[in-house]
Amino acid sequence: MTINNTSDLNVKDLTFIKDIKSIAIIGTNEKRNFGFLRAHIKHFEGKVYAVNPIYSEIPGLKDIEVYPSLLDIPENTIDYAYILVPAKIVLSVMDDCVEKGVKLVSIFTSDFSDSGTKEGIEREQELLRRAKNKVRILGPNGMGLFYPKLGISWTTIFPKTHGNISFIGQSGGLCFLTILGAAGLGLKISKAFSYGNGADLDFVDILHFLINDDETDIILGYVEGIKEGRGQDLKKVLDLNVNEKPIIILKGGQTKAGSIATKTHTASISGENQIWKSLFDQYNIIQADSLEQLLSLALLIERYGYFKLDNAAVLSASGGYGVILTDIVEKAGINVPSFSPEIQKKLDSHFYLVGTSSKNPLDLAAIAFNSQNVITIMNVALSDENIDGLILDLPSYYFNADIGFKYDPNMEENLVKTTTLGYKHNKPVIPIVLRLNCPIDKERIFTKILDNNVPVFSDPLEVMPLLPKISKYSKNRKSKN
Amino acid sequence: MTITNSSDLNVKDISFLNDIKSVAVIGASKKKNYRFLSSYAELFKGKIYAINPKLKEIPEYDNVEVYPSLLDIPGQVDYVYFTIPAKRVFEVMDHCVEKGVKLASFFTSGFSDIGTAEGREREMELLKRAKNKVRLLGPNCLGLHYPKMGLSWTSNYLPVEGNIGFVSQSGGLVNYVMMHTRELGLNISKAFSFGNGADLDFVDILYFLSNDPETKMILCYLEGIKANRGYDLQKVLEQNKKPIIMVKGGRTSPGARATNTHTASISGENKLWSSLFKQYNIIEVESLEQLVHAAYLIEHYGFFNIEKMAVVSASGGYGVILTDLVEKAGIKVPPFSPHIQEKLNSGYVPVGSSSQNPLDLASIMFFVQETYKVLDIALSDENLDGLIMDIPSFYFNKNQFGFMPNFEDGHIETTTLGYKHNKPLITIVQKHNSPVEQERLMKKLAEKNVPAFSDPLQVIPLLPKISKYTRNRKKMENKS
Repeated sequence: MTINNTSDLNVKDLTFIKDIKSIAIIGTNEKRNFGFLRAHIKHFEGKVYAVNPIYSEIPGLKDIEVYPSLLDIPENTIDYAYILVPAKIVLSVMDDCVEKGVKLVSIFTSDFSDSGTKEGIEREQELLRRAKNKVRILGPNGMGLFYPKLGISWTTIFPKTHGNISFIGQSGGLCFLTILGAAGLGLKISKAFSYGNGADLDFVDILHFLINDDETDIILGYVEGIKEGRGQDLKKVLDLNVNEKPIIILKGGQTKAGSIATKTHTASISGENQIWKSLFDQYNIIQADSLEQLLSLALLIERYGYFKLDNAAVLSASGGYGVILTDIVEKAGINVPSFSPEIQKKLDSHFYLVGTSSKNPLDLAAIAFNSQNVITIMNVALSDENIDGLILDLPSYYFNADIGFKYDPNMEENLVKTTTLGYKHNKPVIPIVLRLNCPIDKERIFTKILDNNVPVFSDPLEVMPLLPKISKYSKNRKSKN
Repeated sequence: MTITNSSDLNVKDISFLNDIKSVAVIGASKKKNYRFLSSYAELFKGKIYAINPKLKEIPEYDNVEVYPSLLDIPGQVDYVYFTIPAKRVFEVMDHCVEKGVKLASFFTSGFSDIGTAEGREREMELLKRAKNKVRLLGPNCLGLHYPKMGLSWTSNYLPVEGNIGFVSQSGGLVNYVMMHTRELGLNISKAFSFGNGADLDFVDILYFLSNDPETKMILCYLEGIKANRGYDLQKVLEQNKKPIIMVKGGRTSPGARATNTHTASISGENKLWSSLFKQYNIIEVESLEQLVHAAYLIEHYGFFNIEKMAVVSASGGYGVILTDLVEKAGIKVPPFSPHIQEKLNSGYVPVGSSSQNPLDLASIMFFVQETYKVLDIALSDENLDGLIMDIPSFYFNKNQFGFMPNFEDGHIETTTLGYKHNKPLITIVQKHNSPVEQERLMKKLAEKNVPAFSDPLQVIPLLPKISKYTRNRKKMENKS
């Protein structure tokens, strides 16, 4: 384990994590219902040991080998150790880790630099010294590593499925919210890192790893701040992003009160807003304003790739709602232009009812109850070469058995199908299924649309600000693939 | 029925509609499944007639009397609902005048909304025939929804009498708002869809709602008003004392173009609208969701003014993000007052939490009583006007902490602390991490009258809007 110094790059290597074959959980206890131990044995295919001087066997987990100390484990080496013993004991455990040849530890224990006390800060420094640059550390005060492909997880409630999106989270809580939130949207995680105080491995190291990780296509990050002296390294790492993997960042501590809070949270100095902003601009990093936006941005890019949405069609079941949507789209800087003449002519022929409008924004009104016709209309609208995408209002009550189906028995199937037409035309279709009018139907439709790999939203203001962010990213990419 | 002219106020009186006792539906047909008629038959508390020359009776609805013409009805008819094609409305309108009908709604479109000279002339002719004796809603609208009388164009949802009035140029939006409000436990006093507004328009209806004893708060969707109604609108707004929340359609030029095809409105100069809203302290929102959510907040917490607030989170990182969002909205997240901070510190045992504002509960949230205590103290800080808290839905999963007795209901009880301290307590129940739990929690919170949102950006922009309204309202009250 050496510090990688090629091209002056001051980052720590952690490519070895792909080969983790054995895990020790140090300090597992009954009070926590042996939760961390249970989590790691649930899906991990290699060997998992428990280290605990009190128990000779774990209640309910008789198959797990328990040793009083790491050094008592008969295996020659242990690749990964998860540490949750009290802060004062962590130091001697670290000595054992060095001796045993452990490559990576996650330290859940807090009360190091995060406590803000001199004692805590010194304890963290001592920890680093004891690791002798031989053991890489995630934490302290972090949740550690989530690597579903290998079955490594700190909780049993995370999904086993793995994918191509990775997350770097300075906050452990946000790792929970991001991983579960991604699962709720059908997104699959490659790896997630909760690095807490970042005493050893920090944002820069992990970002470097993910940029070069062939299992990762999209990188999400929550960062409160980086250590002084790491700015140059961060820039060099970002320079290395030659494949231009999209990086989406949620920056904590952008306001004064927020930045004070980061200090008690992970002992970070969140730094000058202006510096971060220009860094994001320079390296074409997409900035999210909330966790919800972070997830939604990942969903949109994962499904629709790098799109440019300058001109949108708007389709609504209510004229008034279409007007509101159009205003919201335009305020976000996206045009809602007239259709091309030949497209307009085609559309006119499909709008046979009074009280509808075949112009952009399309006002379906009662035509929506003829769902087959909606498919036709959307296909025509999306074939307009001046249109880059379509915003679609699907009121959830249309899917209610007492309301919509009265008129058209195939409504649900057909309207769900309309949301997939974006793939046919290679243009993003953004369905908005209003939650409040029929929550139960909304939940069912949401699931069906997500199962078709289509991003879906329950409030127009949830998604509209994200579209220009992605368009800007796509335009600034050097390679225009 | 006369035009009220007191104090130069050019508005049409519709106060009679609180006494509507009989309804006739023109054009009910079996082919269309008695659409509209079926709703009146199922819900209306007064007398119901159907006008259809081909039918003698409607076996499906034995409370409906069928007549070949309006003039054949022996008793008084207060309200007439038109669903027949545009060309056939004139003769029936003559009957309405003769019969002394007070109000007619026209679902029928094909008037000024189609943008042709023929359509416009048809609308003028309709007005002429009404002779200023019958008030009209529409054409091209859904009409009047009056839950107290069971008067509604749809029976999809049982109308419950409430105190929120809604006036909308778009019929579809009335349906949306009716469902949104129902889901949040808000109830409507009256909702109007006035379509083309040939006779009764936004100004008339706003005036009515502003003086209606059954209405406390007024929601609006407006695309535009006729060129000569600006002065009247100002007059109406001058006498208004109720909160008005508004979505203005057509604020952008493509949006304005769409209003023209939608209800033949000219949505007018943006700046004029902005200054009007400012002058009359109208709460302008950006979306239908915001419209309903703003009403929801005011209905539960009254007129609040949040300038400083506490942020409470189960995750330190999420608390930082919430704090940034709140501060960016212009609301301060200041340190607690010293004596409050002292109390909070003594209750904060666990490492990894933070007793400062934003409060990072971390493992404190595993304990219902502790969480309650912390929030109770935080809300008692006289320096703070409200509290926003994050409720991670996955905590309430049985496999996480949901198995603990009283965990869910205990935490929900805690969220009612805003009422104890008379300060708004806003909850964010995150959606994606556990959708099933989220829906359940949202429902339970709504039952406790605690405003809950699934995304912080859904609610945070509304707080300064309502606060500004409250401050301006106080200023005006002090003046008068």
